[in-house]
Amino acid sequence: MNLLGGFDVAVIGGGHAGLEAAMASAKLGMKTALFTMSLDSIANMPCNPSIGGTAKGHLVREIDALGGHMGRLADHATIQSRMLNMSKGPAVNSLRAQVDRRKYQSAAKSLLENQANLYIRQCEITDIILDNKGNVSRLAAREGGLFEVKAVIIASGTYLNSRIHIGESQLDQAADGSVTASALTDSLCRMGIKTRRFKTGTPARAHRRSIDFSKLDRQPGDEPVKPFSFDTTEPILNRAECHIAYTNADTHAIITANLHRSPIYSGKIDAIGARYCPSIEDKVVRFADKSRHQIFVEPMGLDTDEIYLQGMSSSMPEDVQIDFLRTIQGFENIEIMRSAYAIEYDCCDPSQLRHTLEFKTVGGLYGAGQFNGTSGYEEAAAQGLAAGINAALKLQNRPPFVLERWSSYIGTLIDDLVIKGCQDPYRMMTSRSEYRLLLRQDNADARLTPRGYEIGLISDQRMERLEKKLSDIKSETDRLSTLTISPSAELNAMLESKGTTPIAAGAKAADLLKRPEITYADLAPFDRDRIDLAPGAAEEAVTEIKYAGYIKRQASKAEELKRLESRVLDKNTDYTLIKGLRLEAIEKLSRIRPDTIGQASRISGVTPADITVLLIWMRIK
Amino acid sequence: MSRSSDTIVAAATAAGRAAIGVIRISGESALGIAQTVFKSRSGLRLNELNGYQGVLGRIFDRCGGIDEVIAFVYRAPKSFTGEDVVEFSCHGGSYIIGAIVRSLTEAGARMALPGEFTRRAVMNGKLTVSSAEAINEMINAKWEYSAKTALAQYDGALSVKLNSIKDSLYGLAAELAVTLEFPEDDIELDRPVFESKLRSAQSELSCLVAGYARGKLIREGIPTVIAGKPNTGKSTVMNLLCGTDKSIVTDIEGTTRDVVEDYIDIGGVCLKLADTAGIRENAKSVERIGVDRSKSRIESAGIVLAVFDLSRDFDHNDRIILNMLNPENTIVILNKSDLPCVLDTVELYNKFKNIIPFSAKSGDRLQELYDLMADVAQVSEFDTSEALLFSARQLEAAKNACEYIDETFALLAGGMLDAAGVCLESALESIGTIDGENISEGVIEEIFRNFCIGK
Repeated sequence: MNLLGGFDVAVIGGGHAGLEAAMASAKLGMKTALFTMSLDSIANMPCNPSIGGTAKGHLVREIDALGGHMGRLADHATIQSRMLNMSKGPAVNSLRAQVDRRKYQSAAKSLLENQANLYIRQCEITDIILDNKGNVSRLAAREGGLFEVKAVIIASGTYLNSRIHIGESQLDQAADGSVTASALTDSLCRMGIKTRRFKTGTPARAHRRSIDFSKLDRQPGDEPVKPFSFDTTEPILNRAECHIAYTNADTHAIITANLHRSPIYSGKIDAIGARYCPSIEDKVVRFADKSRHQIFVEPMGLDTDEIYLQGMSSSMPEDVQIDFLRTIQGFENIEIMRSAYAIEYDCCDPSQLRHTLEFKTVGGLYGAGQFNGTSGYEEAAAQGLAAGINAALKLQNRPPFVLERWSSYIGTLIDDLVIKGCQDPYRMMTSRSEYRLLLRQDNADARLTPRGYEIGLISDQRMERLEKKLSDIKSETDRLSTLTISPSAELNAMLESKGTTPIAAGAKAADLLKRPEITYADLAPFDRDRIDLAPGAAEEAVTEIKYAGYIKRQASKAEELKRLESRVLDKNTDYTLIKGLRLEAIEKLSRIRPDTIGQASRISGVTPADITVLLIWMRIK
Repeated sequence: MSRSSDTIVAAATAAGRAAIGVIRISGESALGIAQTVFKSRSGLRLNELNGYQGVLGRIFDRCGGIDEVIAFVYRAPKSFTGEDVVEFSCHGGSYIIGAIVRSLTEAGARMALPGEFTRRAVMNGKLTVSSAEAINEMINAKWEYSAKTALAQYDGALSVKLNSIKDSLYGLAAELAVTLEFPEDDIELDRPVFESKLRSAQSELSCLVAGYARGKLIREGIPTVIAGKPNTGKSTVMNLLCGTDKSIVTDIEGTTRDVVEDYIDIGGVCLKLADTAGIRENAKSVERIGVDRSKSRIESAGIVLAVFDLSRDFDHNDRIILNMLNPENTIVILNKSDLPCVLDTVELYNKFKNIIPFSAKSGDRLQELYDLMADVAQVSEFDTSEALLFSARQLEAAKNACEYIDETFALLAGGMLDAAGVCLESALESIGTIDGENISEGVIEEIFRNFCIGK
């Protein structure tokens, strides 16, 4: 084997996690390598051609606020955009964009190629070699190369020993016909890392000409398009339309009649699938009382006729897939271009990781993305960013970068993975955050950009823009709190038309805005002194006014947790010696080894009574 | 050494002369420490015994034998605390009990803190917090109904009720979350159904809140006031009902100046009986204060025994009292029926349904009076198996949960579904604290502070 060079940080995998990890590390001045099995698959979207969605949109905004790239790339490649949950409250507003998959990939590749300190290389890493202290020291590639490394980030996605199932057929392949990485799992097992097998799936892609769009519901984008990135200033246009189709009783009958031919139901796959991303077979079986399921018909890009059928993920044989698709109105003559499939792959149990995403037992080895048991591009990118930053910071002897639960969905995601582990592919959801009213997509910059700036991923100009926005939010909130609006026939007519009570005496603008029915725009005719504010500042001011009570309550809850997080548990604590802990708690605490009482309190199987025992034990000790 | 891993000791029975006394030792070294002061007659050592086994023997200290006792062994986790436990049943003299406890502390056990045995039972998962609180209620119960309701809570009546409320709220929280997490999945929240389910969960909570007052009456006794103008024989009625000379009885008006209290048992329900100063308009200084107290007692009473004097004319003072009475909770006692009747009782008979001619002096018709009191106290309507909140802490948590649900309704109406979901979770958290599911260290301390030592 030949030593081909040395790097500070090596990233294995060029997907969404690998890209963010490599960019962060290189931007922080580390000589960084990105190894991918195919340069043509960088930042591929092997599943849906879209970025964002509930909670995932929040993650993208947070990645962007910290100086990551997913938001900018998505804005660049957006062909249609919608804001989900618009009528359900600002904390659950979520941006979701359909993107041109190829345009996204080529922009991503060019981004990596143009980054100083970053070296991209196509090869399959087969072995991670440790030094005698148990730290990573070298990587071996199947092509024959050997690389000296100080830190390694595994972002292998679904590529480790992946196997694709289409009905009775099995293919030892990875997504989109690519080659599977068949050696790295063994290397990890040799160093004592526990791996397991997860499964996910994707629907068929059909040819545009074979779908009768006149029979489908149209789903246009929202105007104007709101960008993901706080940095995007150029307007984004809706250039494509999505459509909605529905399954029916015939579809369900065909699926039910052929369940025995599904590898999941026949027992050929025993890997664990994602609860929140069920296949159509799962949906038909589990929600038998539902007469129809929605299908979102999404273009894969502007330069292709491939159409993605969201909601129809399946592992049925190809003939069954065609049969059930053709029962659907508008799909009577559908032509499949790529079949739906299920894919199983190796990943790690994330409770082996620290909050920095470094393995507890192997110095310099990090995990990110689907390798850590998550599902989704956005979850992957968030972890890639965190792992890339931490790998660089550690080599620079700087303090680790750990986001608290109350600061972000990224912090919540990583804390959940590391402390609770995951039993099935982990998908981010707003309800996973107990602080979700604080964690709005609109204030991701206020929450995280200062942290990104501190690390060195945010420019001075961007920080100045944020400061301007924050000061505008403050002055507008103050202004609305002191501004008195006098009662008038026009005002009361407006109030009554919105279904809220008219006023007899003057009222503060803020008090009117606290009424859920009243918007900032409603008050415009009665508030003539508005000045131009930084983009987003007025919306933020209004949210802070409307949600003041809840924000305060969640903030004080965060303070409570902060106190528990400050009670540090000794790494070498022997939990078997603490009398009063239940057996399950002793087992979990000994395995996960939480850093603080706060972390301990979130481990499933550790009860509040166990925490009380720990607190008393700490006090007496 | 940590506090919860050491071995604790305390007398489990009350101090004073008694046939037997019980000393309880709990903790990892319970058997070992007990063995150092104990020698069985058969030569068996305590660690040779199985759980739930006892052995006769003698306790010694440095100066020699103290007492002949039965040592009973419980093996963890099958004991009250979930730890190894030894209980010595000794002779019940306070010297003997004290000497045995002392010998055990000298052998390495620590004196238990109040409630520490029960606390360990909670820590070791043997009891829920609300069951532990019920134990304290059982110990403090003086009447049949309070003991029975405490036992029902110990058995989990409250936990069962709370769990059913929690289950329905969890279901609703999940329903709401699904519509927020999967906006594209064609799942719409059925608002009327959702709100009606939420309302019924809230009304169950409100029932618990309302039941608190009932529980408090069962525990603390129904405040029952004996009222009337001076010298109608209130104190004689009081003494008759209590069966003792609790109140001083003279012919002089205004003898009773402060409120005199005692507890009586009416069919298992406790009445907290209060004899009050006679109410009259022109009372002076000290007596005046007593009169004011009487008036406020009548206002807050559950039952009023209004005593009128049959042998005297209805006067201004009777009128003042009459105007303060609520016919629903008043029993009119027409006292001194042994003397010639002067009082015009037509108005009283018209206004009150519970009315009884009586002679406190002879005590005739006393049983009839008791029955009437049981009737007004609605003794037969007490359901001792119902779920009850029995501490201010629990009441507070239930009220908070109700408020969070109110807020949830307002937020749903205003379309702030994100905050509605959070409010619903806050309600669940509040309910969780009632049963100790997510309870803070401070609250735990507070609960066990009220326990006696040895429990």
